[in-house]
Amino acid sequence: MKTATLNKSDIGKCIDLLLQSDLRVIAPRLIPRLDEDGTDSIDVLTFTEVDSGDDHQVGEGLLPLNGVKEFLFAKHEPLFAYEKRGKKIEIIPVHHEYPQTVIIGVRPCDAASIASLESVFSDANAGFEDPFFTERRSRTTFVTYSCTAPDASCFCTSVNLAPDSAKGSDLHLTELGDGRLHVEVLTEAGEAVANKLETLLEGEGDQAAREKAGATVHEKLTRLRNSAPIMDWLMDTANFDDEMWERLGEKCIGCGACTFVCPTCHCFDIVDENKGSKGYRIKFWDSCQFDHFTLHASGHNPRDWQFKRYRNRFNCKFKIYPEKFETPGCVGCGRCIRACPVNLDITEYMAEVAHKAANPNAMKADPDFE
Amino acid sequence: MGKKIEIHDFEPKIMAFVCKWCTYSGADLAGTSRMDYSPNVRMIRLPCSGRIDPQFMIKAFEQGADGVIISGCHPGDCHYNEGNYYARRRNTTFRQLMDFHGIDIERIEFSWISAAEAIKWTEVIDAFTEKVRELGRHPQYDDEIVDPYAQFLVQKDQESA
Amino acid sequence: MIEQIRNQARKLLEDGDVDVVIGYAEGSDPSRTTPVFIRKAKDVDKLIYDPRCINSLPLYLNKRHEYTRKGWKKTAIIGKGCDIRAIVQLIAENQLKRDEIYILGVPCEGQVSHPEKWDGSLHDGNRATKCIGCDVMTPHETDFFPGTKPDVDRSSPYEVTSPKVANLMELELDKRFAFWRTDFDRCFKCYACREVCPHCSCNVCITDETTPSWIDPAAHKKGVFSWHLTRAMHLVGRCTGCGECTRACPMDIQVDLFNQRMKEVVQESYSYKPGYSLEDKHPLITYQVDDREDFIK
Repeated sequence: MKTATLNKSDIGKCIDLLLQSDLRVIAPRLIPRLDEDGTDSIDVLTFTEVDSGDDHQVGEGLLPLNGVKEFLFAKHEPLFAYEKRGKKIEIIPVHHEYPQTVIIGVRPCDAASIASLESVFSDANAGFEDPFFTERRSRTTFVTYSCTAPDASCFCTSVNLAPDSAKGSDLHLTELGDGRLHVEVLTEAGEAVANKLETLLEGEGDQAAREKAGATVHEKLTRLRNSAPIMDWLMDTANFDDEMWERLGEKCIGCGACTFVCPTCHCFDIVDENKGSKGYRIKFWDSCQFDHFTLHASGHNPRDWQFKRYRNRFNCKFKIYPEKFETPGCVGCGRCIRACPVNLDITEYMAEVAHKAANPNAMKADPDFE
Repeated sequence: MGKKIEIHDFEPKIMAFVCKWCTYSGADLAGTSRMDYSPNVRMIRLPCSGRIDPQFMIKAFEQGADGVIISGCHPGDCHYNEGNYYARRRNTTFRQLMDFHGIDIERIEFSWISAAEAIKWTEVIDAFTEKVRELGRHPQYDDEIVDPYAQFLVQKDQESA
Repeated sequence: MIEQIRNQARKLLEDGDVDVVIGYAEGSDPSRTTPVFIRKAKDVDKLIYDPRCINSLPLYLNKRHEYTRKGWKKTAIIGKGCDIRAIVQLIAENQLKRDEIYILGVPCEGQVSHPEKWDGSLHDGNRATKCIGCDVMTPHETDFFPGTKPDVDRSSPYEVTSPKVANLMELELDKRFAFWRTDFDRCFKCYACREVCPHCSCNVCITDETTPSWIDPAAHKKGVFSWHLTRAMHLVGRCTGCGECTRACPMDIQVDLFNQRMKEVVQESYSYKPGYSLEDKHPLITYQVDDREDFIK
């Protein structure tokens, strides 16, 4: 594995170099706001396409509001167009563009989520390939950036990740604390990007300093939960009707915010968008938190109440994903915790399950609960 | 009679949502009286101006309409006694909502036209068509909004080559 | 003050006067609070109240939350002035009966707009804009109030609650449209703005209707514009300005600016302020013969 160092102040120049080689570069950027916003506005950091090396926030802020998911699995896209002529329906193919892309400044949790999406959309063993996802994935390079200042909602260490993890990354950057970055080239795609930046990279990396920097950040993560017993507890079908689901989930209001900001949530819906006798069949993001998500044509809804929908989300992350794909369903980015309007916290579920798994014979947490 | 046929560069698409008791009958009268009015208008007949949901107007714009006319009975003449009063309040607020969104409310016309006012109908339609023609194609609801996937239908040169 | 509220809540639950007390409890990290449903008198000490309690609790009184509300014949709810306006509006719309609700009013000095901005105290730098010019800091409709309730004159019109509404109104049309176009670009239609609203009470939302599909479900510009315009239009004259839609938006789109602007329009046109009277009908389901019609030809 090749390593090198890079001056942090040269990231803008890196972006310019990548842009010069006709790559699409996506980086965290601050969204410009109108003046005098009042105090209700916060700085909005999102992953967006950059057109110059001056305008980026790589390594600044924590997590952009959107994940990198939307650059692999589009928010909405057409599958084909159709037109009805008399009794015949003609299918008109659509042409997607898949530009060569470098996403720079991706945090380790977001990078780890790519593997989870891959297992759904491009698992050859499952006999299914999503052409849109795989085409985009094969043309996208991830340049990740270790975290330096996790906030109160981060919990990557609880799901076997770390703030300096290089999992899912092609080229990994870690701040060494002296204005330099440790650069690790991890894949061929990463090497191709590194070659373009050759003029800015210097010598060998400093492995010891990198380990040390990573360990310091590791200690800043306060939400430490043991996720090891969760899967086994969930596998026990008796626990599917445990009282905790209803007790913790009754305040859930059923907005899809947690699923839409989640970097590993991947559910989508397909509809025909009609205009007269022609239209498009489109694919767009959906959420298991919506009441009509599981609504049958008969009118029956197996997940009829909101707590069952949240139970499904939790099971999806900690049971279905690991069982089916052997990849983590949750990467601990904490976006769902930050986004939730009623402070429904996935780590509280984790803690409750861990507690129940450790004390199988204990009384219910609140025996009076009805 | 008969107007001289003029050729214009831009022919606006205009949607009219009209009450069946007054405006539609008024338009009918205009037709049976062989009056001329601008052919740019596409009419949809509804039971009452109170039935006109703002959703219809949003839909009309997003389907590519350049202007929308809403019309019903004069106040006091509603077949259902009060439908047009509700329509009036609804449109007072809806216009301001569209304005706040940045859509030119000159493109939304509201008019009271009775079953006898065939002449008023032709005048309103002609004047509004002229106005929208001058305003031109709806700049806010551009092609990207009216047909969000049009770009996907165009085969790029390098792909065909 | 919170002790008085707790004592009253304890008394209500012990006497069986109410089945549940809806209030605020400590959240999962120190800058957040969470809604809590207290069913047993012994749990009332979980209740807290401070400037972090920005959530609008009347949301749970909406009939949409049928399951959470099962078995609640009479509900006590802790209400800030703005929340009580939402309750009053629900009652005025026949979504709720006054005698099903016991309102534990709390005085309010304003709330912190974002948990990220909480630094232990409330000040001008973190006060939510909805709290500026608020005339219900001493709540109007209560069953219980800690201490004595001073009389407040609430007859004056609203103040413009967000300078941004005025800023936007000063812009030219195309600039204003461009602003929304960029902001709505982030929208992915999670419908948090809908679900968090105390007044969105349709069983099936128009955006979920498929036959016909009035609003395109995808988050392209057409679908997003259509959704936000419809949402704002459905709340005209009903929105009590709790600002929850903007707070809940995970992409920080200021959707409540539409509602604030419409609040002004309703006030100018019909001198109506929602959420102050249990009897008044909201302005779009009533009329005056001499309503303004300056725009009608």
